[in-house]
Amino acid sequence: MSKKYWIVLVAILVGAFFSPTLLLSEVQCPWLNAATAAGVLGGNVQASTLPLTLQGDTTCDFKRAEHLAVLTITVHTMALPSKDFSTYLAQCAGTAVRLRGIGNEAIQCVSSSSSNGGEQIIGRVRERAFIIDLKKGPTKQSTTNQSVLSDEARNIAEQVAGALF
Amino acid sequence: MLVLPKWAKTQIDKVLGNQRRMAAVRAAYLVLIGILLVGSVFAFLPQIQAHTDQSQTQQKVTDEAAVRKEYADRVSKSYNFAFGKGNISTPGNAAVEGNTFLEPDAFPTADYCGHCHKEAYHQWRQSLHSNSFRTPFYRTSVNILIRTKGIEFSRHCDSCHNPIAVLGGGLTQSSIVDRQFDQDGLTCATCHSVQKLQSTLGNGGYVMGVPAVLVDEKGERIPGLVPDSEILAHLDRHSKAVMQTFYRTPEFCSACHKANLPNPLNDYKWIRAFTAYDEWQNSKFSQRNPLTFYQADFKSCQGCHMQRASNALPEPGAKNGTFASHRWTAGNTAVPFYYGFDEQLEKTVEFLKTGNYLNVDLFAIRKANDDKLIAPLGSTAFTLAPGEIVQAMAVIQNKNIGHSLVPEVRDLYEAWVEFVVTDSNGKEIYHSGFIKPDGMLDERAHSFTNRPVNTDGVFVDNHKVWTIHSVAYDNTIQAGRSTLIRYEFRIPPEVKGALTVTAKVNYRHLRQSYLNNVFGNDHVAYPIVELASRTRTLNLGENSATTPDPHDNADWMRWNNLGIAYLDQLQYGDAIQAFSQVIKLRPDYADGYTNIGLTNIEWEKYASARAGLEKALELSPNNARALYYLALVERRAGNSDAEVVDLKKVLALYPQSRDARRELGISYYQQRKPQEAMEQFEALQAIDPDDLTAHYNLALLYRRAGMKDKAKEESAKFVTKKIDPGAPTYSLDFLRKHPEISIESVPWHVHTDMSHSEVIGAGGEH
Repeated sequence: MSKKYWIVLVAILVGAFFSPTLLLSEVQCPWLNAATAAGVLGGNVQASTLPLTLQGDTTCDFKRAEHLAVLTITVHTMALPSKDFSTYLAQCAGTAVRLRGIGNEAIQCVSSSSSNGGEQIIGRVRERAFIIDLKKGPTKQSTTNQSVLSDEARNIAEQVAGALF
Repeated sequence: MLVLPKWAKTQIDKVLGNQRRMAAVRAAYLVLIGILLVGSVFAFLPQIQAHTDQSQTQQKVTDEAAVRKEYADRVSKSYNFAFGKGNISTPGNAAVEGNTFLEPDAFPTADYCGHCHKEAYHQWRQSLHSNSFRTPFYRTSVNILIRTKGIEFSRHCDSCHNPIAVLGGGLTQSSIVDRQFDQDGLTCATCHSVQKLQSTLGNGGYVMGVPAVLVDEKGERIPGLVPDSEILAHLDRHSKAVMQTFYRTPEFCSACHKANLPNPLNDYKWIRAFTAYDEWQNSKFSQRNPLTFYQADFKSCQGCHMQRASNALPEPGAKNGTFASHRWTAGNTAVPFYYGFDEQLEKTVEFLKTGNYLNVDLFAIRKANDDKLIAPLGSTAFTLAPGEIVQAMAVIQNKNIGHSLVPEVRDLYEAWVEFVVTDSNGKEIYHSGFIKPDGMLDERAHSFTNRPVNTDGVFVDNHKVWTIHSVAYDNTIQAGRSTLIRYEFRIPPEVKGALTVTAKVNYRHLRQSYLNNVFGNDHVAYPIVELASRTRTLNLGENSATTPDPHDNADWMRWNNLGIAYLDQLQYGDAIQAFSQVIKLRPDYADGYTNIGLTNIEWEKYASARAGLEKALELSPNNARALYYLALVERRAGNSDAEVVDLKKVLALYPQSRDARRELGISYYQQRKPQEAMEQFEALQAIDPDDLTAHYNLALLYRRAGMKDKAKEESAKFVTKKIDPGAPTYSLDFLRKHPEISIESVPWHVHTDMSHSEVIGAGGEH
C-alpha cells in the first residue's frame, strides 16, 4: 500500500475520533451562554451541548471541573403538558417550593439537609419542561452561601424560561 | 559697698529682662511664622485637595477607558456588525459616549443604589422599567424576532428594553457577555447615566454616558463605584452625577416612548409604531398645541406617571417628605400580576380608576322610524314603549389622558366598551363586549384598538412588528377627543317596568389571544379593570328629566363631545348641529363657534367657516385656535398676507405649534419666500422630526437653494416615511376575511344583534 493511502487512512481515523467532540463543541446552548454560566459558576467553564432534537430540545452542561461546579440545563418537549409535567415534578426528592415569575410554572426543589448542596429548579414554558441543576462544590454550602446559590439558580431558571418563551 | 551689689543686681535684672523680652519676641515670632505656615497650608489645601481629586479622577477615567477598550476589542472580534462596521445599535437608535461597547460591569447594580435609596429601589423593583426585558410578555415577542431574523435585529427593541445588552455588545451570535443584568432591565444606572438626548425620534434616542455616581470638584464624572461615605460627604456631587435637568422633561420619555419600524428592521419602509410623546404634545396638557378642544394646566409625562407621594422607606431623594414615584404606574396590570407584585397591581388599578381620565356618557337614544334625537338623556323628557327598536348613543370622552386610549402597542392591549341592557328582572336584553367562556372578548365589541396586518392580509397577532405593512383600522381615541358608539336593540314586547342601560370601558392587559400565545391556552385569567362607566334607567312609558350624576359633564360639554365625535366620524352636518347646541347653551363660549368653523373647513365649506371664526375672535380676540383656522380660510380666499399675519399671531402664542409652523411654511412657500419657508419647516422638524410636509418641502427648497446633499436626504426621508399607497390592499384583504369585525373600520357604524332586514323592516337606520 502506498504512503498516500496510509496518510488518508490516518486522517480519516483521526477525524472520526475527534468528530463527536467537534460536533458537541459546535452546538451552543440555546438558552444560556457560557459567559452567563461562568458568571454563576465563578470562572471560565467548559460548555457542552448535546445535538438538538427535531423539537429543539437538548441538555447543556457547563462545568468547572477543578472546582466540581456544574450547571446542567435540560429541556424536553411534552406531548401532553397537563399530564406529563407531573412526571418532571416527581423528580424532586425534597420539598417542592412554588416559584412565581418563572415560566408558566416552576418549583424549587429544596433538598434535605443530608444532600450535597446542589440546587434544582423544575419548570415549564408552554409545552416544554426544563430542569436546572446547579452545584458549586462537593459539599453542602453554608446557609448564606446556600441562599446565594438558591438565588443564582432562580436567576438561571429565569434566563432559561425567558429564552424558552 | 552696698551700692555696687545694688548696681550689679540692677544690671543683672536688666539683662535678664532683656533676655526675657527677647525670648518673648522670639516666641511671638515663631508663633507668627507657625500661624503663617499653617495659614498658607490651609489656604492652599483646597487646591491641593482639588489637584489630588483631579488626579484621582483622571486616573479613574484612564483606568475605565483602558478596561473599556480591552472589553470593546474583545467583543468586536465576534460581534455581528450587520448594519455597518462600528454601528452597534441599529435598527435601534441607542448611542453611547465614546461610540463603542461599554462593559456591563460599568453600570452600578440596583442593589448598590438601593443600599441608600430604599424607597426608590422598592418601587422600581415592581415597576415596568425594572422588568422591561425579562417578562414573558416581552420575551415571547422578541424571541420570535431572534429566531426568525436573528438576534442582531433585536437591538431595535432592546435599545429601550435592555440598553445594557445593546451597548455591552451582548446581542450577537456567540455572545461573550454575561447576561446577569437581564433581570434588572432598565436599572437605576441606565436612566441616570443618560447624558443627552439625540432628538425626539425615539427607538432609544438617548446618549448613554459612562456611569458615574460622583463628580469631582470640577464637575468631571468619576467612573466606577465609590464608598457610601464618599457619597454622603458630597451629596451635591452625587446629585450632579446622577441627575440631569432634562430627566424631568417629556423629551426624556420620548427617547423610548416613541417608536418606529425602520427599513433595516422590516426590509420595507419606515412605519410609525407608536408615539405617546407626540400624542402628549398634541394634547391640552402640553400647552404647545393651540388646536385642542379643551384647555388644561401644563402636565408632563412625569406629572401623571411619577406623582410625588410620601415615602414609607428611607429615601435620600425625597424632598419635603415626598418622593417622585419610581413605579411609573400606568396601564400594565399583567406584569405585577405575573410576578405577584400586589402593591404595584393595587396602585396600578387605583391609578387607572381614579384619574377621571374618561367620561362615559349615555347621551341619546333614537327610535326606529323617527329621526329625532332624544338628547341629552337625563335632561330631556321622552316616552318609550315595549316592542320599539332603540338606538342608544354612548359618547366616550378621552377627558384627561395625555395620550390616546389606548396608547403605544395598542395591538396588544384590550380596551373596549361593554354595553348591557337589562329588564326590571335583570334579564339581559342586549349585551355587547362580554367575555366568552374561553376568555376571548366578544369579537363584535367596540374596541379601542388597532389591527396591524401583514402582506397576506393577516392580523399580526404575535406582535411581529417587522411584518406589519398596513393597519386595517385604528379605533383609539386621541387625547381630548370623543367617540360615539351606537347600539341598536329591540325592547321585547312583553317587558314591563324599566330598562337598565350600562356602558363601561373595560381594560385588559394584555389581549387574551396574546396571553394565549405567551402561555398557551391554559393560563389563569388576567385582570380586567373597569376604567369608567355610566348607568341610566329608561322607563317604559314616561321619562322625565333627572338630576345629573356628579361625574356627568355639563350639558353644553356633552353636546360638544358629541360634535367632536361626529366630526371625527366625518358626519359634518350632525357635528354642526351638535356644536350649535353648544352655543345655544353657552353663547359666550368662543370655542363653540370655532368648532363650527373648523367643521366647515373639514367639509371644505370655507366661506361658511368664516362667520363662526370671526364670532369666536369677537368673543376672544387673541384666540389662537380661531386665528389658526381663520388663516386657512384666508388662504382659500386668496388673502395671503392676512393668512401670514394670523399664523404669526398663533406662533407668537404657541411657538411649538407644529400645525402653525407647517401652515406658515406653506404660506411662505406660496408667497415665494423660500428662506422664510425653510426656517418654518426646519423649526417644524425640531418639534417633529418625522413631519412629512417638512421633508417634502425642504427637499424642494434645499434643491432650489443648491443644497443638493440636504435635499437628497430630505427627499429620501419623505419617500421612506410616506405611507405606501399600495398598503391598503392588505387592510382590505384582512377586512374581507373578517366580516365579524370589518364594521369597525367604518367610522360610522352600529352595533346590533338584530339582522339587517329586521332593522330595516322596523324602519331603523339604513
